Amino acid sequence: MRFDRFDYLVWSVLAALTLAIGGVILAGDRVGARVAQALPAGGEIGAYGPLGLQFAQTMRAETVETRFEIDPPVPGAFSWEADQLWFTPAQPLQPGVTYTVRLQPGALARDGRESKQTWTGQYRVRAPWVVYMASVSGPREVWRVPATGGSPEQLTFTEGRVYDFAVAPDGEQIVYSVVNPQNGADLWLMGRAGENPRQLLNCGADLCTVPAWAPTAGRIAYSREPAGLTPGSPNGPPRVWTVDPLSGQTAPLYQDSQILGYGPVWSPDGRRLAFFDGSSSSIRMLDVTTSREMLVKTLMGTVGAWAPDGQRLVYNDMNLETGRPYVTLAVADFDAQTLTPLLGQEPNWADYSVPAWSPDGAWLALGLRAATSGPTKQIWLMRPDGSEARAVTDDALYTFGGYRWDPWGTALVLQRFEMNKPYATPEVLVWTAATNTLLPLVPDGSTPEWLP
Amino acid sequence: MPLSWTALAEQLGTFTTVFLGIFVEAAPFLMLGTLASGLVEVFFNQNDLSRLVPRNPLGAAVVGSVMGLVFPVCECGVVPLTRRLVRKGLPLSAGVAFLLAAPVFNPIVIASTLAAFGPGPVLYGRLGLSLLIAVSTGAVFAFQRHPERLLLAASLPGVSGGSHDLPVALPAPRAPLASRLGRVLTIAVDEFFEMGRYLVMGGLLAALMQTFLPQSVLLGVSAGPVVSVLVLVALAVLLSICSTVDAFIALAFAGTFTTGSLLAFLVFGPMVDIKSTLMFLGVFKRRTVAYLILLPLLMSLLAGIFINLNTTW
Repeated sequence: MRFDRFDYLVWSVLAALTLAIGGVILAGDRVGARVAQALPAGGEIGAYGPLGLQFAQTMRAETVETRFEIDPPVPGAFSWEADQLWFTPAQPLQPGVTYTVRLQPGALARDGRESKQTWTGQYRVRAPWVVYMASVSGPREVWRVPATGGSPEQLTFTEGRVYDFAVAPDGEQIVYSVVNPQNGADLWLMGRAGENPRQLLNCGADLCTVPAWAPTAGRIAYSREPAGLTPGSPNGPPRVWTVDPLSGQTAPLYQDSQILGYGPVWSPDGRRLAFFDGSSSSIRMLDVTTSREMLVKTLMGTVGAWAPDGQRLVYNDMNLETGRPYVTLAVADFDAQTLTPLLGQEPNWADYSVPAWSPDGAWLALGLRAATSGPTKQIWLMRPDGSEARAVTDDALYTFGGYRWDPWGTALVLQRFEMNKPYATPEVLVWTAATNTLLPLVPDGSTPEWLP
Repeated sequence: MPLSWTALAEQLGTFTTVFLGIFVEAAPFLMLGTLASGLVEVFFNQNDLSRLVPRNPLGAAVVGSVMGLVFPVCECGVVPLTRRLVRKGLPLSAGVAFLLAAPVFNPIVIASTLAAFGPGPVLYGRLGLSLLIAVSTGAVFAFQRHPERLLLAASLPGVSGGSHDLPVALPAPRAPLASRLGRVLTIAVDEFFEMGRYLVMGGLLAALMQTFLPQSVLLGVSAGPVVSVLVLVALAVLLSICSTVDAFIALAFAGTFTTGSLLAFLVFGPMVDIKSTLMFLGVFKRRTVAYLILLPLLMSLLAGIFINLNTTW
């Protein structure tokens, strides 16, 4: 094998490349493991967060979590999705406050690389908005408005085919059902400002409605009523299904098609789901992690509200035992599998709506019709044991409903309807606890929800 | 020993499946390459190439590296086409640059990489590094003034000789189109079977390696900034995937491997793998083939490791 000048050149180049590789390796890692970006991009978050860090490498969780600092300090829990770390605060973050997250150097990637610098990220907590359905007199579309008042913004443009909606726990997305040409209803997703609307689930002639977003955001439960056997015939009985908002994969909650369900409601910890099972006239409470169940008989057909501990459910029932039927309130304790009466035979109160539990569990808000106040329902606050009851609204001209606590338990969004006005439309308002004032938001809206 | 017979039968099944997978994936591209080669032989003459390619070796390498935009072939088809172009008088520097760059720098592969990774560092890095390595290697080969020391005899350009009064290439009387197309097909078929031998041998070897050295062995190795590059370069050679689809395979590694290693996989894999190495041996001398492997290999390793250790890609 005879070498000529070309061969010597090639071997020189190979030697130079080998040296260069050695030099680059010897110079060492100048970048290290690192955070690629703060999540969500832009660093704006809702009251429930979560705050995310996207790493450039797959990290060793314990080395990151011990170097994670947040200022002002907030307790919370970590979770990982591939190379993303998510911090979910245990208590709602304060609106308008900027939280600073620091990751101290020394966190290790699985490939052995070490973070070399302190990473700092800023997360600003946005003020909440209110999402609602408008309007009764025109096309049914989803709108939003700042919770402190301002110009409403239309989010959907479906020619009035929106049926209902639900807001994601982090406030980044909204799922809504839209009636399709086959008279079924599909599920759609959009961003918090109405951007990027896309079909999540094509339900054909089935009715997919009443979506409920799990607090962990990874699942949406909804009611699905199968198409009738022949075109134009009524839909079949509803069952509860779930769908993954990322993949669109969907499946019934129960394999047993005899278990019906409507109006799913997640517990605040996302472990349990309650829905009304018409076949047994019961609220069916299910622990989705253990499949343990509790059935609560009720004649009302409504589901109730979970306590913040995810253990108790306050619900309505009707007592028919006496000659004069009356509505009652009771608490179902899932862990103890017990039912405890709460309200029902008070002489001055005649009717109760489904209560809403304040985020700290200290108060129940509920629509209540006093025996002496005529047909309207007013909003009342009371302790979970029924004590310290007081009226929030007191206007016999209006009936109030649709109340939801804000993430901090400082305000309620609600709707009211004027009773003695022909062609009246529901209005959306915000009641603020600190000032005990009602702020009208929109004159023609219903079913309001907070958009954190 | 019924268990070992069962295991052997399973491995034989895996081997057959992997081989057929490689062959079925690569054969159409080899056919396209040989068809292109036939078209070049029949419809291009030496003067056309002389006009298109600069005399300057570096310029020739640059032109060669972007010729994939005109001849969109993968690493199987590029070998017979390169041989045909070199025989037609394409400078060796341009031929080598074309051989190395065309499997990446062509519209199909650009589109598939864009679809897999979107516009970003992987797409731009793959195109840029492929061009850089191809042009650099082509420029090195420009220093060899004696192509016969690099190429097998069958790959050498035709020699003109005789009277100085005659032009270098005599204009041949133009044959009818059908006859010329028939000749294209004849050349393509001949070349397909000639290069197909190497494809079959390369496919057999790759299948053998994949059967007895499973990917999990490589992927189980730590994915550090240096080791990850070595692992994915080895995997690129082992898998012998066509460059038109390799971006989607690389996408599966994106979550666990470094950007530098992904780029090394996407740049070196289309240049050199088991089957293309076997096909190189049908065109180049063995020492040349070794250079054609080592130069891109070290450049890819250098680029991949440098990116991992010095950039935030």
